[in-house]
Amino acid sequence: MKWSEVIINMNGRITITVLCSMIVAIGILYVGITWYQDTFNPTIIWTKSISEKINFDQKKVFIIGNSHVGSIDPYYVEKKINKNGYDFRIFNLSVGGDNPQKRENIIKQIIDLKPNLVIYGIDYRSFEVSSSEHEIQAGSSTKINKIKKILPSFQDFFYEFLSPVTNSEWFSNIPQSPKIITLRIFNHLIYGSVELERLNLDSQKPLITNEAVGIKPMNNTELQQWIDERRSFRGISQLDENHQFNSLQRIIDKLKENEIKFVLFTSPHHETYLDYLSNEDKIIFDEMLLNIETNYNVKIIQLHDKYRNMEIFANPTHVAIETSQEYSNDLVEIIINELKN
Amino acid sequence: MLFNSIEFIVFFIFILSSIVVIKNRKYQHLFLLIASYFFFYYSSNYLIVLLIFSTMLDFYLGKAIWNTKQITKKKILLAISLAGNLGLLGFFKYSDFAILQFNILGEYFNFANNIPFLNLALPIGISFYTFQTISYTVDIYRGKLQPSKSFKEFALFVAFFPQLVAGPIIRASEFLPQLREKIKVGGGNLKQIIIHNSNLKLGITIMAFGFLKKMFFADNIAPLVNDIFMSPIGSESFTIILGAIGFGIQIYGDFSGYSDIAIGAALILGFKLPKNFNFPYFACSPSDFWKRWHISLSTWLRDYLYIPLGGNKKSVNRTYLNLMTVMVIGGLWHGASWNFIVWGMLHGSYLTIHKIINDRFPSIKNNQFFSKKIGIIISIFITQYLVFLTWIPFRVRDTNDLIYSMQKYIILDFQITKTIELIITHQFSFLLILLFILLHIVAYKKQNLNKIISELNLWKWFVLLTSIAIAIIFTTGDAADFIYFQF
Repeated sequence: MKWSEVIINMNGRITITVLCSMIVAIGILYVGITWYQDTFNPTIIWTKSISEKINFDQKKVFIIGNSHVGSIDPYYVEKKINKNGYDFRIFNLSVGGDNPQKRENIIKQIIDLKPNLVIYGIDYRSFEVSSSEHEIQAGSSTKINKIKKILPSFQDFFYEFLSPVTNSEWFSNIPQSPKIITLRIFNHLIYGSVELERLNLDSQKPLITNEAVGIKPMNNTELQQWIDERRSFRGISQLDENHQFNSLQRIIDKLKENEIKFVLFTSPHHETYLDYLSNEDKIIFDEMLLNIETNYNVKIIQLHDKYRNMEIFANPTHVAIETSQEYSNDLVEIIINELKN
Repeated sequence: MLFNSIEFIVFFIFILSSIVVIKNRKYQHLFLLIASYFFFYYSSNYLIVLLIFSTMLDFYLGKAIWNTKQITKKKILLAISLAGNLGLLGFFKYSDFAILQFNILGEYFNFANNIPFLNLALPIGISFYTFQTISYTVDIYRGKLQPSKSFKEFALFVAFFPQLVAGPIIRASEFLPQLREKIKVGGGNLKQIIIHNSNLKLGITIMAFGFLKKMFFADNIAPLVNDIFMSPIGSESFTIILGAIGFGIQIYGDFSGYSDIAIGAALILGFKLPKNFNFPYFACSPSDFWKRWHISLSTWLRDYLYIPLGGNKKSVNRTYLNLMTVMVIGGLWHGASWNFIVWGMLHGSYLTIHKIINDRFPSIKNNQFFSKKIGIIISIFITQYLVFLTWIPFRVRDTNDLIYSMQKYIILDFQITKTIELIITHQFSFLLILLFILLHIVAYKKQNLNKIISELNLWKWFVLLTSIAIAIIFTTGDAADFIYFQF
């Protein structure tokens, strides 16, 4: 059937109408996301505003990661480093809930600011499976469902078939939950951007508040109670199917392409949290670190169990702001060692 | 395979394209059967064996029942069919529940050992397709239906993918003749599935509203409901009432949305599935509610359980007992839990009390007040207050939470502070509840809204379809399962 016949045919016209409505809806979503990124994403807003103010000749170190990195004091680190004869500005660009996939979306903006060194704090949570992946895995792990593994799985085949798309850079820009964006836009229109107002975009730790990290430390009993009440780690997928790991590899590639020095460190956890994690997840995490270290020749400093017994944690995964000096000191050491090389 | 997933969209487009290409009805049916089995296998894997077993059992038993002249032999064959189907359903769905009850009794009588649970995977849709195959053999036994001559056609009736996993529960007498309908074209008859443009447009409209109900309303009201019923103790009465209303709308949006998608998808392929919902929240009595809610289940229970038990043809007390029995079994059909039994008992008692009032106090029933608009509105409010009470045991699993929630729903404390705080936290969900009520009233007044919309010109239809797509896409989070899949 020729295209002209399809258009004349009523079924063809109905089908084209449905397709057009889908295209228009997805197009509006795309425009909405772009507008959202420019208006609401603190990192993008910050990079835009800082690029106007920043002196590109000034040497810079960016510490990136999730809220587990948020207690590192960039002013303290900067002071200590510059006392050793350097002239660097230190920025802590940690963002609450950050993971390699999210970071990959904004790595271009970070590269454009031309940092001399990027230090990335990762941990188990950075590679945790998403809730939807977790549901699929939970469904397939029951005893009786082991029979399923004998028979061919069309679901696996379908996801394998789609993987070139779902693993692509383009796909990673599509938010998993457009609902969050919609609600934030409505929130902004009605109440103004409360979230952005809380941040101090002019500081050297612009994207996270102290409250989001936790200010005062808990004692061991409180930490144990915290983990008992809220234990909720969904696990880590194997390397070959771990989207976060793929994103991390792409981030490293991009930084290398732009000749930016890069160091990884594992952010500290309290023993209550480390004991709660399964050995299986720990093994996969170690495999990831080994893989990055050998294949990318990236230095990895392991801090995740260095302070495991110390009462410096605001909760089992966050070092408290008030007791973060040792954590910051370790960062000073990492940066100086790297700058010396 | 969830209807609200990319897999289903790809699958359905492939089905439609293939049906257009194949052209010969015999092969179209065969293709639909293979596609339906694929649809089931995709998410249920080896459990497809149960579906095929149930299909083969009833196909051959149906034939044997029809061919047998001896009534005793007919009864034995029917009993085998019932035992086969109910045995499967009972084993997979209720065995762990039975073991739990036995173990509790064992503890009471100090038995030494507990029976270990079987932890069986619940086959998706088993409650739906076993009820379909049971109705087939019972109708043949009653002489109301001739057995299907073609295994392929019968298998397609059992496994037809739009309604396979969550209904509507269709009868063979409704479906099988549609497989042999001839379409008049010019002077002759065409033996072919044709995707007719009016069916296509109406089907897409019905599906679009189904997706809207499920993905826009049900999925986005769920966070408010979850927040309320996660830990209801300490909540105010109005919070519990809000939770019950929210859950009532969520389950309606979820289930009727699924039914709409099933009905729309089937219609595009040229099959008419029965209506499963008819504005249940406008019911003005408990019996009216059951003529409007999950119609295919309530009529099934009426025809294959209530009437065989004697219906209302025996003593008055027996009628009440029958009503209660049917509703408790209807409750258990939804799941192996005491909550569903409580839900069924509540509905059973409503129906019984309503019948007692009608039988013993006909003056109330015939009162002019109840035929006036204000009388009807009051009846609707009273009925819905009672119906929404039953959603609490349907949703709240913990016994203490359940007792507290039901107490608060019935005995109002007139506190409102925490309820307002909750509404402020969940403004979006709350607004959706209000919007749903508003749209539901509009749809009720217009009655045939789907048809009216499908008859709009393509430009207006495009605008509406795009608006629905935007509403869905912009409010999508992770894909959520349909609540009724678990039944």
